[in-house]
Amino acid sequence: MADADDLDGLAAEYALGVLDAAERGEVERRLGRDESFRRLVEAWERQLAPLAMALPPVEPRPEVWFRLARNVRYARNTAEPVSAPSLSPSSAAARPSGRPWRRQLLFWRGLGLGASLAAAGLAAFIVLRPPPAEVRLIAVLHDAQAEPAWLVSARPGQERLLARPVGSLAADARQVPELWLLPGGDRPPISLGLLDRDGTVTRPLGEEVRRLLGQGKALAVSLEPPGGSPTGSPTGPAVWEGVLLEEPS
Amino acid sequence: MADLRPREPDDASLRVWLEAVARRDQQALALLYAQTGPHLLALALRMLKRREPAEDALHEAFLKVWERAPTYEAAKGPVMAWLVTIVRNASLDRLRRSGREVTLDEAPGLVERPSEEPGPADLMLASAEGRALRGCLDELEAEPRQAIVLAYWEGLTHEQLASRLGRPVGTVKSWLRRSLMRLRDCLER
Repeated sequence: MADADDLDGLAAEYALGVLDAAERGEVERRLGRDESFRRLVEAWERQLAPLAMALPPVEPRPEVWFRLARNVRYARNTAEPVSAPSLSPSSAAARPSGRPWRRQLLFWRGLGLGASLAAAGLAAFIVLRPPPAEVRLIAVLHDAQAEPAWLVSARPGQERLLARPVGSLAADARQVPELWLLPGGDRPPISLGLLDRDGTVTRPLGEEVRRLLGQGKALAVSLEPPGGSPTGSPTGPAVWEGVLLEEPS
Repeated sequence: MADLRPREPDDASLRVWLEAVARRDQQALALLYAQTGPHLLALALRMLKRREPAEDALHEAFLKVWERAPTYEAAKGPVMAWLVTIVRNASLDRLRRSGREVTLDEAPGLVERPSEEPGPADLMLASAEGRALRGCLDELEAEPRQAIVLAYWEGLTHEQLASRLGRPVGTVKSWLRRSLMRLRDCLER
């Protein structure tokens, strides 16, 4: 019968990941029936977990998400999908002052969800089938008060991105909005070009950017001097931000 | 409003999303996955060496996240630690099933030889827990520290570690036990 020290050591080794298959099996059986041992293991796992953050992140391929979303959908516990109004530019133009969006935002905020999720709630629901070659990504970029300000849509297959303002934005010739892709991990923001407060702009998408665009990627808009950031990195604050989601077909 | 420097997944956001996942919100799962997936894949990849099994482990882990989200509570610790545990267990199970260590020579997908120590500018330093652990790791001697880090990142058994480090199994076992206890004492100071 293992004594307390041995159990502690065993818990630590299990959390470290150094036990072989047979030993892991023994520990897992004990975890099922020994509450205090389970807590010991959980404490060790917690203490060692920051080591996981020492590795540079690696982007999963898009297929991993599609498989996951499909399998989650088929899981027994799936509740009804969360639906949202369509965000095609024509229907957005038909809405005066974006009031239905505001109501949707308030609904999501009432659930205690962050502004990013609120913006995500406005955009399309996740595609569950493998996408057709031409997937459309949409993001609503909003400010800190969750007011939507920009609608961005990207077609990586067509190598192009569109961005338009939503509602009217205060004009200021000294401060030009510039759109950035946030690739995540350690990588710096990538400029996707300048935006126009008065209308839609179309921007070509370079090969690297096209590879990086996808479900869940974050975008931000900063205010820069005329002509855009002189340094290639944002020099102004991120006034608006949002998350790219796939439009359902 | 947030600045544009790359951020650590912050625990408050992760918790909000995980609670929404527990209520069966798939968009929250997407956000959780987008935010944490790359860090978790890095872990699985370091252990399994090739993309396919690593992405399989990631996929399986997130199915477990979906299933177990209702059981998560703040008392269990930060969300990221909880996710890391699920992914590591999924990866370790696969690793143990394959019965042997995959050496770097057999892993054509790996572009460069990964470091065997946490680098100076790594993301561990972004959190209080990470800084504490880093400080305590630095108090260990070099070889035992390397044994701990290698064991954690690559999921090596005592025998594999011993062979990798060129030391007897008994030495490695006692290094690990002693170092783990010293780490805990240091962290609980």
